[in-house]
Amino acid sequence: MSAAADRPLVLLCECAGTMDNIDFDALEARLSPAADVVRGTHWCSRQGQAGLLEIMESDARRPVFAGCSRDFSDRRFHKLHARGLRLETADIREGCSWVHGGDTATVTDKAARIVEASTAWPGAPADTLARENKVDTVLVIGGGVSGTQAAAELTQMGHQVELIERRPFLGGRAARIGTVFPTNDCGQCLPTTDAQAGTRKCFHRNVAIDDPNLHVWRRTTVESVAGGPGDFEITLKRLPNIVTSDCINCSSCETVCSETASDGSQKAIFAEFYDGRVVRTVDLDTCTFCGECVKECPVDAIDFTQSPERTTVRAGAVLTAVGCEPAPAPLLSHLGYGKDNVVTQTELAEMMDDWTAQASIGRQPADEVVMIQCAGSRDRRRLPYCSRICCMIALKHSIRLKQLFPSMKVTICYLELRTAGVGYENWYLAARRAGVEFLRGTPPHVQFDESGRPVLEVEDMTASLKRTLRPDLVVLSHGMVPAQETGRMADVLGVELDEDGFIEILDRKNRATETTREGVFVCGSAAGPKALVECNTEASAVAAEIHNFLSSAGRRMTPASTVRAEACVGCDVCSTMCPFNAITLVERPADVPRPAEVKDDGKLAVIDPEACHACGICAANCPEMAIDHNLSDEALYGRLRLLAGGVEKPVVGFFCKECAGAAISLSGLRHDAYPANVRLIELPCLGRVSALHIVEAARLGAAGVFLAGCAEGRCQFRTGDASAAEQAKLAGELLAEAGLSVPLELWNLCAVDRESVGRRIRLFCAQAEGDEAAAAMLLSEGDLMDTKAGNGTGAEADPEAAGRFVGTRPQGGCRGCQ
Amino acid sequence: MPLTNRGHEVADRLPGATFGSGSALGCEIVRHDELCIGCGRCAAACPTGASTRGDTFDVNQLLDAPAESRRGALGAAMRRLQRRAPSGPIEVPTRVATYRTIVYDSERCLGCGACARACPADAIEAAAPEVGAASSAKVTS
Repeated sequence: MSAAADRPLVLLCECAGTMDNIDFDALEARLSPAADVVRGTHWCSRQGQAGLLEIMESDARRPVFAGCSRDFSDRRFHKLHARGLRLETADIREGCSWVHGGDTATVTDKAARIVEASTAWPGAPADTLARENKVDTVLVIGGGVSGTQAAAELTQMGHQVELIERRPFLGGRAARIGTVFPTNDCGQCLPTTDAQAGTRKCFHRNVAIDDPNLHVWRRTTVESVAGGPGDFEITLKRLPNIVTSDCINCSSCETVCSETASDGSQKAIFAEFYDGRVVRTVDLDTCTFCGECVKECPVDAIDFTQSPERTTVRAGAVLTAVGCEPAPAPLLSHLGYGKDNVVTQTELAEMMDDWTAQASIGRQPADEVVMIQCAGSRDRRRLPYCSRICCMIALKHSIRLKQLFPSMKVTICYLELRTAGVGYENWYLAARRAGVEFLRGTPPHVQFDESGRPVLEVEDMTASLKRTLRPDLVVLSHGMVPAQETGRMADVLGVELDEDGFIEILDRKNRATETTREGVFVCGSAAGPKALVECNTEASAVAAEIHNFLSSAGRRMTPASTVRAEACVGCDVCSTMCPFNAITLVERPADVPRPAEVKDDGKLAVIDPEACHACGICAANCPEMAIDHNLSDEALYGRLRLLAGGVEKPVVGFFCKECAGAAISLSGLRHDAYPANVRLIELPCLGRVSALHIVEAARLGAAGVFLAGCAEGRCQFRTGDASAAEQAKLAGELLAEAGLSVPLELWNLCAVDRESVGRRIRLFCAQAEGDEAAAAMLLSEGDLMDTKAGNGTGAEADPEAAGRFVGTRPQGGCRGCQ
Repeated sequence: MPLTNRGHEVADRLPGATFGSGSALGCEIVRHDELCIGCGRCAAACPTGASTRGDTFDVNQLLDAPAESRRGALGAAMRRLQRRAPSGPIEVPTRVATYRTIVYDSERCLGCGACARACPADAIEAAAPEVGAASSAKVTS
């Protein structure tokens, strides 16, 4: 083999004779002048792989494997990958031979062009690792049940954990509720470790929190976050607890304290919940610092001389478990909240302890209680979402009330009861058996008669009549809203919020514990209201996820994009577009070249290579074309020029190698044929395509251009399809203005579309080439498919829908990703 | 409006393109002076200095502002206080952060839209240019 280092090495695979419409002799002859071609009939066979290994170990060049698609060859040659050997693929099988007819000359020409495009502009191999060295510490924000459990589990996995809690006590909301569903016991327990018997223990008995690697910071908040994933630097602010750990909880201080705490129920020095370390604290908002308690304390555990302190900790990952809180009063004012006999379920839970005492002496504090479900929730003007836990809370409370006071009349006004969970429906049945009345219909507002008694006018939808209720007590099943500090926390951490103000999760189907920023995780109610059982599950899940993040070798990716300072004007287009917040605008250093039009104090965009996922969205959108992506514009133009040549009217398709790539290569595996003038260009993400690439395709004589990306809103790089849609729109306008009419379509594909994408390409070609007869035939074929596929749903005769082949998609969409 | 690098690339490829009314590759910048509070954040965000923050303020801008806007309310208060109609721009002390006249020079604008994203008062609109509906008065030679 004449191994000149600058000559590309091509491994030509005949795929065991299945590509009979390619003339391999002609192909080899055509490629040979510019490349070293090694031909094989079946490279992925046992002997073939052995030969391949021999070649790759003796030759430093990265060979171009001309055969099956990237997805297919990656799997076939996974043993090579394990040895760190990388192939560049040129897909002449699923992307050429298998999907085109018997015109050998045309198919061979296309195959040669595909191989030449790969040899001339090889893609960058995904060999760069981001963040190999990470700090093995986790910062957990929020000491509720989710946060504490995740912290305890992370400590058991061997990580150092800094657990910070805004309040003086751990346990969060759950520890303050009497009983919780679905077990009807208290919510104060955590799972035990091997060090303790039993399945669970209360916070104050659970030794998991005593692990020396778990630091608990009470009364602490996050002030600022610097650094990046794998090595965050977090500044914490800790307020003094005043009462030191010497406290023996004798309550002497409480007897002399003359102030009440801000919630009004306790003295300003109080004990709330013993979580193993701290028993007592001082409400600094109402304390007058009179010093009486200091004199009274028998063990000198009260020290007012402490002051707030700031500390900086380093952490590899951050977990936000800030939880949620009840909807504020204004969201419930239409239901009379604020009056004495209107309370929320949370308040009822607190009252229940008192009511239990009254029941024990045979007194009944109320004769009739009405609970209103979805109070302020699922209402566009208030909380648009379902808080998921209120139905079960109402059921739990109604059963408890019926147990305490069998003669009490308990009515639940509801629209829908959502009891989705293991064993949850039994609670509904139990409530029915206990004699709770379920009234279908909720009152729009609560009125009061002259004696101050609530009057509810409800439309009973089951009986179709209007009913008037005059209960002693109205209980509002309120929704939950994000915890107070969620917005500020998200700002500090650089993560996004969803439309309801909770922490946005990375992917609703597969990545429920990750935020939009790498290295920042979320669990529990911080990402939306959740029941205790879900919080516990997520806490364990996120612990495993963080362990995985900290102990993995790093994310394998293609090289990050870079900014050319001499062209960057410092506008904020890229930093606004970047889906991973990897781009920041900095003051332009004096020694960096600047374009002429930039003003003196102009900014410069800088890409953080560790946060960059190399999707190319910034490069496609930069107005100055100042960003270099590993798939350069020159390579894209070059591939376009090569592939669009040799055929009269090419149809150019840009597709992302993610979901659309899966659909197209799977379609190729099914031999779903389409015309050979379709020329496909693979991109890392559809966001890489800019209006210029489309214009260039049109200039090269393309009869039509289609862009195929991931399913709508499901781009693997979050916003690539949206960016491509913008660019396509711009390209359409530019082309129309220049008098070129080129059909331009954007498709959202996922792996289920393997059934339809071939037909879709055929139809697009027919329409682009103006072949109306063929297009009409394909459309009617689509109609037939629709009636066949849609026999369950019936009337799907919408002609537009038929054109889009929506009927062939199985209900529920793609479930192929992991 | 100067062409961006991308604009030049398009111009090379599509000789027929006139770029309509805007740069066609960035945004068309529409400033709503009646909403502007003169804070100068657009000037700080602007990469090329197309928007600059002046030292003066034209009181007439306040007096002419619609009555229901924040500026209009201030203008109404001024009208009650003033003894004679103001003549021309007045100088604003440096410690006053807002109510400066923003000078916008479309000749230097690249159409990147940074100002619109920075504006706290929604006074700048960055719209994708309407190609075809070319208001020929604004086409730069």
